Amino acid sequence: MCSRLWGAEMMALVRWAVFAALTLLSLFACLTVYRFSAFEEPSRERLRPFTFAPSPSVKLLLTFIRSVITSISYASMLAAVLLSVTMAGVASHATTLSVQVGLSRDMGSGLYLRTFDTGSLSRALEIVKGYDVKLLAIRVRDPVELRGVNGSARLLLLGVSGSMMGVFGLPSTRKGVVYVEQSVAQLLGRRVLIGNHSLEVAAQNLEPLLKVYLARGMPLVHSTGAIGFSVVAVRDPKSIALLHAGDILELVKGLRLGIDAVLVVSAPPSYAHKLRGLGELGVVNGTRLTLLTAFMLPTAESMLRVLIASVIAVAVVVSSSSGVTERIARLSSSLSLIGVSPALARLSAHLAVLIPIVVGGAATVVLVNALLGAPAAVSSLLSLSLSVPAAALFISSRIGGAEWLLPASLSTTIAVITHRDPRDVAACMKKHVEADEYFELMEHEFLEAGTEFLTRFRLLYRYSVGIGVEIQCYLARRGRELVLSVLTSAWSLEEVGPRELSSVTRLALSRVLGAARLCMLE
Amino acid sequence: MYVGVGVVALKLVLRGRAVRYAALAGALLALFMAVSPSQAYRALIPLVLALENLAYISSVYADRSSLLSAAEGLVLSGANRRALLLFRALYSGLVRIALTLPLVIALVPVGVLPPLYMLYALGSSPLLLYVVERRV
Repeated sequence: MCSRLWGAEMMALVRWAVFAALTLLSLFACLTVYRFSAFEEPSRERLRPFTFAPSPSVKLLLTFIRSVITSISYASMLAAVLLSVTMAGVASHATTLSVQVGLSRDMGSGLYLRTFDTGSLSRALEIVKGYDVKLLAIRVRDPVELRGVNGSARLLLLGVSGSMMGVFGLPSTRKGVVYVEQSVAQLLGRRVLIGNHSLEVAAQNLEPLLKVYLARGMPLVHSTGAIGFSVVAVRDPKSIALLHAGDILELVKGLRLGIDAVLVVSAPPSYAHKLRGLGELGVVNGTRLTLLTAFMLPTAESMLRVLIASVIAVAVVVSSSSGVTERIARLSSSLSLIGVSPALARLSAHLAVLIPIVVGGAATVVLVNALLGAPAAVSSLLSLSLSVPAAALFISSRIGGAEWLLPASLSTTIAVITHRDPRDVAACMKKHVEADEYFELMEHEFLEAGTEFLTRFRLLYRYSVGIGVEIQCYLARRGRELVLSVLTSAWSLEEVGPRELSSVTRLALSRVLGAARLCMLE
Repeated sequence: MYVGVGVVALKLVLRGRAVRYAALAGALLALFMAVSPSQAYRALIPLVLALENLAYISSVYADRSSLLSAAEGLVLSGANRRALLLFRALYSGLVRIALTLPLVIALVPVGVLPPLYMLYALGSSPLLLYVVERRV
């Protein structure tokens, strides 16, 4: 008695501790939200109104997707991944996940069913009609009021019947009789009413019921909860009323009560598929109960096929990635001229390559699920999960591996027969460079040394934050010819590759040379 | 000249990555068929053959730049159109053999007979030749 009280107090204490922990957690969450709410935008700065127009990043991504998806190499890459995902699903084989449970008594051979639905139990009894019901235990989940002549009591109803009750040491039950503890029987009187059903009351020692377990963690009487994996069963026999299972079935149908029923019947295992869907199903063999779950798992051979299919997909992806990389590099180079940084271009390229594969793969998995079932879909999903990261890894190494940071420089020399003075040509070139749409003139210098002249331009590329070009033009007159030597050197504050710097340098050189030619002709 | 073209094609195949990818893909496809359940053959064989074609198309990309350089070199050294056709056919044929041989070995016990496979290969070859011709 003392230990029972201590247990109840412990449970209350645990409940209070959980409540306190949850309250503290909620308080902490509220404080965190309140603290971060201080970092609001200033009242003068308003967010731009919401529009459905895609952001520049989305536009960039769509550009990459449009460019990539139209290439044959990418089409073969995508098709290879989708085909391997389908192949993994088609070649999969699954087994039902089963759990072995040791029974406390030898129950021979038969089928086990645990259900929480009265309709399912009635259907199951109808299906196995003609076979020996070894044990039928029905527990009504909520206490029910038993109204007697002298008084009433709310008790937990337990209905038991079957040919193996003696094996478990259970008292035999008769229909129309409710068995309760002596003290409860005195309180109720000779007859009780449960709903509209009148039953005879009989005094019985129900203490042995509390010790009956079908298996470890499966008590016959009602359970009040669980601590970890151990089930806590009812400990007071005075709170239980024992009936015949047939009476309980009639009662629960009339009063619409929730049940937790266990049925062990001597039907052959071939009846398992007929009982599937009615509840937790198992096959009894001696003291071993094999619980058949609804989960189907792919076999080890299927996993091997999944692995091979994924490696095939990756092999095709790797060999065709050079075609995709070529196209991406071309587009990245073009985009860098309008200010898209290589890092952003690289990220967009990755997403452009992976998004269609992931979306297409997911659609294939759904299709496999619809056509071949869930286990095949699991195999397909596994194949997709293996193929996509491996493909991403290889593509990433291909896209990012070709870049290194080296300054790019270009130089050229031209000679034009002209009578124009080099000073005039230099001034004219400055005028043209100042009006250029791509470059902003940051610095200009003009030096004169005898018959040779040096004009230096420091240009900033307008479509980027920190890319600039230093251009030195040497002008010298040699007879009728005016010789112009141009030296360029590009610099960057950003992390850009030689390809982008080279493009910018060539652009700057073409602008300066164009200006020089115009100025020499004038 | 034709001998020289053959030697270049053979060297390119032996040194290139395409044949390695093709052989790997072929061996893996054969292994996949070998470990697959016989009940799934009817659905699997078309998928495997489709994947084989994709592996062949994609293997062309692996050596594309060296293939183009070799073709350019052959043109510069006086190879005519017929020699170039021979070069392409030899290169494609060798890669195809590396890809197909393990798969055919695996498909024969399954019930796909070599003449049947040849018929299929001939049927699919115009599309593959078109793709390879466009890219290389």
